[in-house]
Amino acid sequence: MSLWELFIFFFRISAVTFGGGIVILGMVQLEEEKRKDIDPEEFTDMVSLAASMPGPIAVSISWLFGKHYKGLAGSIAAVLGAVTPPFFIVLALAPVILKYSDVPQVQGFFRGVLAGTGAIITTVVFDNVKNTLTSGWWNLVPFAIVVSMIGVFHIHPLIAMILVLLLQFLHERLAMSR
Amino acid sequence: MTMLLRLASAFAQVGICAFGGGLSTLPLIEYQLVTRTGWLTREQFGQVLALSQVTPGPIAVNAATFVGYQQAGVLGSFIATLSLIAAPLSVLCVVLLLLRRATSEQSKKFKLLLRPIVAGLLVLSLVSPLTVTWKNGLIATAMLAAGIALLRYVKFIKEHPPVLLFLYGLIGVFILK
Repeated sequence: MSLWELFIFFFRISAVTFGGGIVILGMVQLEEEKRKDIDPEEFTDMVSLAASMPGPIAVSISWLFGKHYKGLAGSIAAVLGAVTPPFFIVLALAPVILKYSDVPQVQGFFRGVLAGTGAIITTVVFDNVKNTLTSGWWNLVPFAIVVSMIGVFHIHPLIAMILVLLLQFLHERLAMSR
Repeated sequence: MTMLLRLASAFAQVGICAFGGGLSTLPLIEYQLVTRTGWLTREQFGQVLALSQVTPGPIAVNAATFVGYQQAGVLGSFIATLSLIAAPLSVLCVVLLLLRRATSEQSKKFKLLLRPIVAGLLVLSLVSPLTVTWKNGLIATAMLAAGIALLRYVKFIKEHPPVLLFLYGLIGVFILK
């Protein structure tokens, strides 16, 4: 793919994908299956790496994808493609929303959407958390620490995450040496 | 100028902590924008969350663009979005340098270690939409409960969640004002 094609590839996917995240990975996978110009094993590696790195998944998968075709320039073209649609849409809406955010109808719209969002989040979170916590008793420990550190004690998330990650590595080591 | 730096720092921190993507980023955004800086009230955070659901792109990108604009205009918007993506991408580049080629086994193992952490963040992501909706009144709360049932039992809604959001937005314009 040329730089322009990389840009357009991610621009198209990003412009029609709401919510981002895993959905983007699925779309990239579908498109890639049509093209078949990345070795399947390498593609699997890309997807798992993108999903285990920090930052929006759409950004990391486009960076890795672009790198595969055109190196650093490809990465930049792909990430620009992924970020351009949401950036300009929100930039266009922001002044309007800020200006009219006191209008009751606008507030009503957002309250309605938020109620729907709450429903979606509850559904997603319930399934995910249930699966994680039932797949091993140890998972309860890092889970409870993260929830209490960030949610109850308002400890900086970066510090909380580093501490819990260290704990996870330590536990992994101990489990292996046993 | 100091505002631009503060925006850059806040969103770089969101980006670096944002493991798991999507909804699990919410508590991190909330911590930076509501708890630590007070740039947004809880209600405004709810608005930004709602906005991000009806516009394409990752929640974190939408939040960065919006809050950047709110605090420092177009330039703020640009700086916030740029640091949100540049910070985690530098982590990715370092990992690629160190690993040469990251195998799927390595990242899978790491992902397994991350899972309970992401689950914790996901639970925290529930707090704001639920409490704000509760404060928005009985009708909003009932809509939320009905939404959970719709997402579970109505195939069309389950496959196209944005339909639910636009429908609820429309209802909101008339009933929740």
